[in-house]
Formats: sequence, structure tokens, C-alpha cells
Amino acid sequence: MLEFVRSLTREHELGLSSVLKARVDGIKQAIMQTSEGMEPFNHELIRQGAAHLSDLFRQIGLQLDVDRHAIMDLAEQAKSSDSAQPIQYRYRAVLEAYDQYIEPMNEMMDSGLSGTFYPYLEQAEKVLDKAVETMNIQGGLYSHQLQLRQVAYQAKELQRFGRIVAQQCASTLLPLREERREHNSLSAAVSYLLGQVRKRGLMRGLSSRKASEGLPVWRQERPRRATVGYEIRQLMAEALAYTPQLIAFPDEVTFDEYSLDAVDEDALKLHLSASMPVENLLIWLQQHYGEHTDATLLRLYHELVREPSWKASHHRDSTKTDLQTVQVQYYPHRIEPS
Amino acid sequence: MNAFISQLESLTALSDLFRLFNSGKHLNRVAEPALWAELEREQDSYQALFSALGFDLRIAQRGYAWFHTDEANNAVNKTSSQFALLFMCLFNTQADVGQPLSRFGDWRIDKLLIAEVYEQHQELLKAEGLDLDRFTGVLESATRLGFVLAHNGYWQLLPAVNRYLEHFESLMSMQDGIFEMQTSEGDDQPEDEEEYV
Repeated sequence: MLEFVRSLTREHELGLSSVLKARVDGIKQAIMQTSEGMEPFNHELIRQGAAHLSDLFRQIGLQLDVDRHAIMDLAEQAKSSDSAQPIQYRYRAVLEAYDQYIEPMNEMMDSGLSGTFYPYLEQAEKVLDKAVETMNIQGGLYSHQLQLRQVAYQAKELQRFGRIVAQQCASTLLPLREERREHNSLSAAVSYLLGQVRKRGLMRGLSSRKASEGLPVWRQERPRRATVGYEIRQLMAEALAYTPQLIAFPDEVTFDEYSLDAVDEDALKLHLSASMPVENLLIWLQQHYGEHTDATLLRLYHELVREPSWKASHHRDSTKTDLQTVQVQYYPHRIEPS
Repeated sequence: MNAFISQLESLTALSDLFRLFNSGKHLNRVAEPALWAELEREQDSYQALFSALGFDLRIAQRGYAWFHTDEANNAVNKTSSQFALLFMCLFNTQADVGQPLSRFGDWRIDKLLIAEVYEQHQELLKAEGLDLDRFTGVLESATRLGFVLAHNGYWQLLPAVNRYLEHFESLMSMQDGIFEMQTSEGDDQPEDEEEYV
């Protein structure tokens, strides 16, 4: 449980280089097991050997990752420690880690004659390739071939990863070991915060408990610009040169009596209510008020139809009626008392 | 009224300064000496005028100025945290090679150094979604906001970076305070309890 939480928070303790060494030596045994299975061909031995190799590769990869984080943590602690502390004390853990972990690891990962890591991995790759080939000739399940290829790929990947980790660890610790690093309160703060960001992410790593201690921010307004088109210039020019146009209003207009068509509407309404029911309102109007103009008749017709004091209803069929100058086609209204 | 207008007329760089500050940029003495001299000449008037308009002009003794606000939108916060990351990585790398951190204005930051900084903090930067191009992009946006000055082929950090350095040190000193409080209480609870629940 504790290990799981640590792996989540990326807080690790440095493993022993001897554990790593034992695992690397385990590769040798697994290689032997695998090659034994090929001469004479023993399917089960090959499979077991490959599974063993795969397991070792996974463990080594995991440990390298854990160690890398542990070394970074060590370096961050040393870098962020009190700048007044004496240098031997401050870097003691770093020096120990360098001597007890980095040096043996470098030795093991040396690509020259003395190193064991890369030769073993290369050997494992070769043996696995050969096993795939043998299996092709002798016959074997396709899924087993795939498994062997997968393990060979793991070996390649581990070589790459091991190189990166070794280089990163050395470059993290070397400046401290050589005491080249500038150490003051600022570099201590930077190292500490980078460690927080590594463990908790940028936003949380830099967040602070005090609201007033936020990150530096600034006021940024998106510039909003409104430009005026040339049309406005013309408008403004016209507005400047505006002279009101004089319109002479006529003082007096002679009254044209003929333009008026006077109707005594109250009398007409009384007359209409007296003669209800009226089958066709327009015909009725024409009969009794035929002396008025067509326009007046039609106006009266429309107004009387809407009058609320009686009930007007449509006929089903349209009819045509000749007025003085026009002929109208319409659905006549019937008027009855409401 | 006339006195006011004549006072306004004496603020010759008013529109330039306002445009600069309002876009979020920091004014640095070393980057724009003429504007800075003008700001210093009529510092009180500029500050009074801007504050009457609702802008909080802060002028730091180390030679930089900006429109201050306590609340920023998400975009500014994100940019700011990326700047913080950029400066932390840069300072960490420079400290490793023994460069004096207090004289960051003298550093010559070229593509080579950027690549080295990126290489050293690759894992962390990738976790924040920054590849080398984007990392360089952060430096460029810091240029637009007046933290960095672009020269031909290299960049130079400007005094406004001090805003971040002060922030880093205050975060660290707060951390020290918490640590001392805990050790004096004599319990060895983890610092961040909610992380372990």
C-alpha cells in the first residue's frame, strides 16, 4: 500500500544498486535456460525462459524509474536545503548516493568490456531472435512466437531506457558533487518548487495557501477598436453643409364642398335596425342611399358589418352588384338583430 | 480646467504608456530607456491619472512597471504559470553550471541553451504538455509581455523577471514557516495531509 501511494506521489527511496545487479545477473540465467531449450528443441523450456526474461526486464525497468525519481528527490533536497548549512553536510546524501549507486550503476551499464548490462541485454535479444527462428522451422504456436518477439522488444526498450536514466541521474548529481552549483536562497527556492511541480503538477505545485500570494499577474485588456468607414465622412460633410429647405405653407385653401359626401350615419343606423332582417346589405344600401358615391357606400358597408349592435353573417355564394361606376363581386352579408 | 489641460499636455507619452500597460506588457528601464525616463519624469502625474481612471500602475525600484491587478482571467493565469515554469527551469540549469543567478540580465539565452534547459527538464515539461517548440513559444510570449528582450539570435531576461523570483522566494519562505511550525509541534505528520487521504 505504502509503495503504491509513493509511486503515485513520486516519492521514493533509493534502491540498492546490488538489487539491480542481482536482477541483471538473473538475465544471464534466463538466457541460459532459453538457449538450453533450443538444442534439443524444448518448447516448454523456451517459454519459461522467455517469461522469466520478460519478468526481469519489467522489474528492472520499474526499478530504474523509481531510482530516477529517488535521485531527483535527493538532488532537490540538497539543492533546496538551507544555504547557510556547511557544504559537506548539505551534500552528504548526494555524495553517498553518487558513490553507492551511480558509480556501481555506471560500471554495470558501461558499454565497454567491464559492463554487464548491455552485453546481457544484447545477448538476450540474440537468443530470443534465434528462438523465434527455431520455432519457425520446428513449428510452434503463433502466439508463442509473438510472445518471444514481445520480450525481444522489451530488451531493446530497456537498453534505451537504461541509457536515459543513467545519463539523467549522472547529470542531476554531477553538478552537486563537483560543487559547481551556485547555491543561494533563490536557487534553493527554484529547486524546491521544481520538485513540487514534478510531484504535484504545475498548477498545484505552484499554488500557495495564502490567497494573496498568487502568481504574478497583470491587467490585460483585449484591445477593442472601432473604425469609422468613409461613408461617415460624407454624412458628416453633408451635415455640416446642411441648409434647411424652405417650404411655404399655404395660408388658406378654398373649401371644396363637392369633395364631401355627408351621410347622417345615426339616422342610417336607426333606419337599418328598423328594416331588419336585411338579406343583402349592399343591395339595401344601394336601394336607400344610392345617391352616395361608390366609395362612400363601400365604406358604410364595411363599417356596418363590423357594428356590434347586430349580427352580420356571410352568404355561401358570391354575387355581383353594379354600383354607379364599378362592379363588385363579393359574398354578401345578411344583417339580423343580435 | 486650463491648468488640468496643460498638465495633460505635459504628459507626452501618455497614449504610448497606456497602450503598453493596458496590453499587459511590463515596461523595463533597460529595454525602453526613453519611455522609462518619461515615466520617471512625471511619475506622480501618470500614477494619479491612471489611478483616477481605475488602473493601478506599480513601479518597482528595480526598474520595471506594470498595471497591477489582483484578479486575472484564466488565460493570464495559465500564461503566468508557464512563465514561472520557464524561469524555474532556466534558473535551475544556470545554477547547475555555476552562473550567478542574481545577474540573470547578463545571460545570453540562445537556442542552444534553451535546448539544454529543455533536455534537463524534459520529463517535467512533457508532463505539462510542452515540447521544445512550445517551450520556445513560451519564451516568445514572455517577450511580448516585457519579461524578455529578443536580440538577433538570442534573448535577454529583463528586470520584470524579479516579480517571479520574489514569488518563488516567498513560496519557499512560507514553506520554511510551515516546516518550522511542524517541527516545533513535534509531530511528523506529512506536510500535505489531503494528499495521503
